[in-house]
Amino acid sequence: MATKMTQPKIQVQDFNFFYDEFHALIDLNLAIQQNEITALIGPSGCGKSTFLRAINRMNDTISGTRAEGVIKLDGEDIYAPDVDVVELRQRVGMVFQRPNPFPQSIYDNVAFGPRVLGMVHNGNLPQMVEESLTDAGLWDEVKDRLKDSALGLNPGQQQRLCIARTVAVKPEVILMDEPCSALDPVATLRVEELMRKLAETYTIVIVTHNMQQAARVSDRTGFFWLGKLVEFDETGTIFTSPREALTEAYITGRRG
Amino acid sequence: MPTRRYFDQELDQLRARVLELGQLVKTELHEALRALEELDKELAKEVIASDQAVNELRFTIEDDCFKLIATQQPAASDLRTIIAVINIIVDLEQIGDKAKDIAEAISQVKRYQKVEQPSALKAMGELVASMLDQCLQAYAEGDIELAKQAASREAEVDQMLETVVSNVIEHMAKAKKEKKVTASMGILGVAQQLERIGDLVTNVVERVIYIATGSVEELNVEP
Repeated sequence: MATKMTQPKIQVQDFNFFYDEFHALIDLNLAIQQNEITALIGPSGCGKSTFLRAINRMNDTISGTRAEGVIKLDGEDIYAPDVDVVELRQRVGMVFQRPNPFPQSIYDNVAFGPRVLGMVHNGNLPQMVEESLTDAGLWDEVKDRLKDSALGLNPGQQQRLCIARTVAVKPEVILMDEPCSALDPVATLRVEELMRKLAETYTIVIVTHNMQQAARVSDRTGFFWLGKLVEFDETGTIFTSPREALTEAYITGRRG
Repeated sequence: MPTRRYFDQELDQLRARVLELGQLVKTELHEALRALEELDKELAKEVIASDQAVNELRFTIEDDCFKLIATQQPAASDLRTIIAVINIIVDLEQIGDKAKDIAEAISQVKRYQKVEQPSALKAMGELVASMLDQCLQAYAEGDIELAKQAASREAEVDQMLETVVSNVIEHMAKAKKEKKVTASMGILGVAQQLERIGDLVTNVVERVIYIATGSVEELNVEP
């Protein structure tokens, strides 16, 4: 685990979020460190996924929403008026709960982002595809069938393909919203191993309902309850000696 | 409805079993001290035999702990409780071993019937036994203050050991018979076992505090 506390990759200051009148996130303050895995846990409806989507402004697509406060990426406020949201989402990629490959070939799935964002130069696309699939731990399994449909892969492979598609556009941060909830235990452990490898290059924030997954994979854990960040600390501390009684009750399964 | 009723029952049962082990060890120690005072070799034999039950129960509890970790994925205070129990049962078993050693030393002490047992040795035995009682009560009730009180008496035990050692040396210097020296050596050994029991009680106290607070507080460290 990275222990040095340099300038955080993401700094959240007095952040609030509303769905119309509903106050979904309340006065959040936390720092997400570079090249760490930060896990967000809490019961359904506590705001953890809303917060995750706030980090790359995915919530902007929902009408009636409103954000207040600051989320800084490398010191720059991502909610500032002049921010290019498309560029932001290239820097802060997202992997969703259910694998969602496009109905195209494996190759085209990975090539999609670089093509759309104009990142292809001098025939570098095959190399970008190979590197992304390698980063996602999938290259050896698919290198001989890149032209096959992505829909023919098993769910675990499809999710790793989605991770390859995300890293293909060279993001800095990867947001993962319950990335293993549709996967079997072995596929889950493969994705978790992959996350550890990816954290050498990227900053990862993961929302998970699986507390053992948060404990296994993350460096720091934040516990959300009714829109508030109740506790945020090193994962080892949260799972052995949490400060707050509410955190204790939740992670020991006595409240949720 | 409580969400982890089964697990809570298992944890209650675990605590009950640790207390059962504590009770066995306590009896073993009390009986060893009585056998020493009365130089009762038959009682000493019973004490030695009873240590087997302590060892068996310790391993049963250890197995329970492993099963709970493997099946219930404990976290926070639940995890601390189980980890602390794994340590506490080792310390309790060792206290049982020391009681057994005291019982085994009785035949050595008895080799010279007229050897005088220093009064500090009896006082030391009573103090160590009461520390153990207090510590087990503190574990049962999760009472940190009571636990600390038990550990705070370790310095008295150390002082008593010094007194016993001086008395024994004095006796040995005056001894004209080899048997008397042997018996004195036995008394010295008993005193050392009692001092070690004081240390082990302090270890248990540290774990009782750890369960409650989550921090390891090393008690009675020499400056």
